[in-house]
Amino acid sequence: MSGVSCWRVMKRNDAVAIERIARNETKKMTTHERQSEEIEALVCLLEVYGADRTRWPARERLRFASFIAEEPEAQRLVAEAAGLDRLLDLAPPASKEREQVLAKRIMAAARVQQHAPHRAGQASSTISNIVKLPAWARRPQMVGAFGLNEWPAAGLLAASLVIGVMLGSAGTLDSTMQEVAEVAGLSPSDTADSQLTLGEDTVSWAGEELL
Amino acid sequence: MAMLRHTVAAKRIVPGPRGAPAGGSQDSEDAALLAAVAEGDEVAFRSLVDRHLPGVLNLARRMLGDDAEAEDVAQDALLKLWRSHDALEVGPYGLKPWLRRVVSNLCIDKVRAGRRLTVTDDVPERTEPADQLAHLEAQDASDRVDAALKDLPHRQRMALTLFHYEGLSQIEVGRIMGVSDEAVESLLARARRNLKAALRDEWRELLARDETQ
Repeated sequence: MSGVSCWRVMKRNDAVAIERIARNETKKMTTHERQSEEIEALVCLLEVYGADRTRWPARERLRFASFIAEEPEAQRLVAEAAGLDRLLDLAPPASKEREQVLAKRIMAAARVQQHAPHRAGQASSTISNIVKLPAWARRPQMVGAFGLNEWPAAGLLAASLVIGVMLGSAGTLDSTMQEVAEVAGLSPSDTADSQLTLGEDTVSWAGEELL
Repeated sequence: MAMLRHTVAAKRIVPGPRGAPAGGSQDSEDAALLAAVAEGDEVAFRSLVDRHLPGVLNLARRMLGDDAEAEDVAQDALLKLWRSHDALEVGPYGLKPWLRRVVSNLCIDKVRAGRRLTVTDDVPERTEPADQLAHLEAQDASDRVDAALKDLPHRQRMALTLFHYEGLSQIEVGRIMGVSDEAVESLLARARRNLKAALRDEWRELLARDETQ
């Protein structure tokens, strides 16, 4: 049955059965034919739902109950499917160590969110991203090597950096800088000139280095 | 095929890995913790994280097949819980269904954003997993199952995770993934067929062991 969609096979079988009923040919179907159709349908059922019959549709559960009880081939198929289900259940859960590190990270991010101004979802998700390390840095060996269990502190450091940049770009520090310039005896025009001079010096320095 | 349109009963919810009771007290404990979180109780939130992180993380790991991405999704889901606590109502199964929905949606979004959902329904099945098996020979059965699951196409892995590991019905899986019941059946069948091929040796070994017992 591999390569053919299971539901297509089932649909085809249903269509054939309906056609037979329409032609009144049901009696001509041999026991062997019927059995092989049932086996085919059972294979499909097991592939989709697995061996746990509580997961099967009620109608199919009823349909196959006696067939499975009586047919050794059907029992073999169910046992095989149960084997695969058991293998799937062997899939390991996440390691407790990583889980604990992640729990700490989540708590740190929650704390940052709690103390940050709540501006819609975007701000929160930005903060959530700040407290995330890039994927490569979260590999177990990196966590061990750099002591990244202390992640909350790093997260807060990064958050303060971002807040600093935001304050700077918002221009809230301009007036403070102006006051400092006046105390130093520099008028705004002086400041501009000195900046220009400094710029020229820098250019000439750069030129010297190139020579 | 009439079977396709029948609702399949969702798997009975069994106690979680940490022995947390299913249903009943789970919902009342979740509700009490959530009420405490609404008061700004950080310890209560930590309890909710401890209680739900394993399930959330395992679901994301199995859906995405990538540990680091799964951790990001788990973090986002639990922080969403932290932010939305006042708008949430705890249902009869506690917070688990809400978290499962959030995690599933985040995983699907992540896969779509990375343009990893380009798999069509007619992807040819891998018939020769010999190289893969050879590479995995040194690992134990559990790791091999994990690797085989990670190796599945995304949509097959998502459908199998939601149906087999999360115990959702076929209709619920279809709703979460935004596909038809028939597509879910097809994905589940192909996922199992691929796993059977990838885990052929382990599977036969297991069956042989059963026969001798």
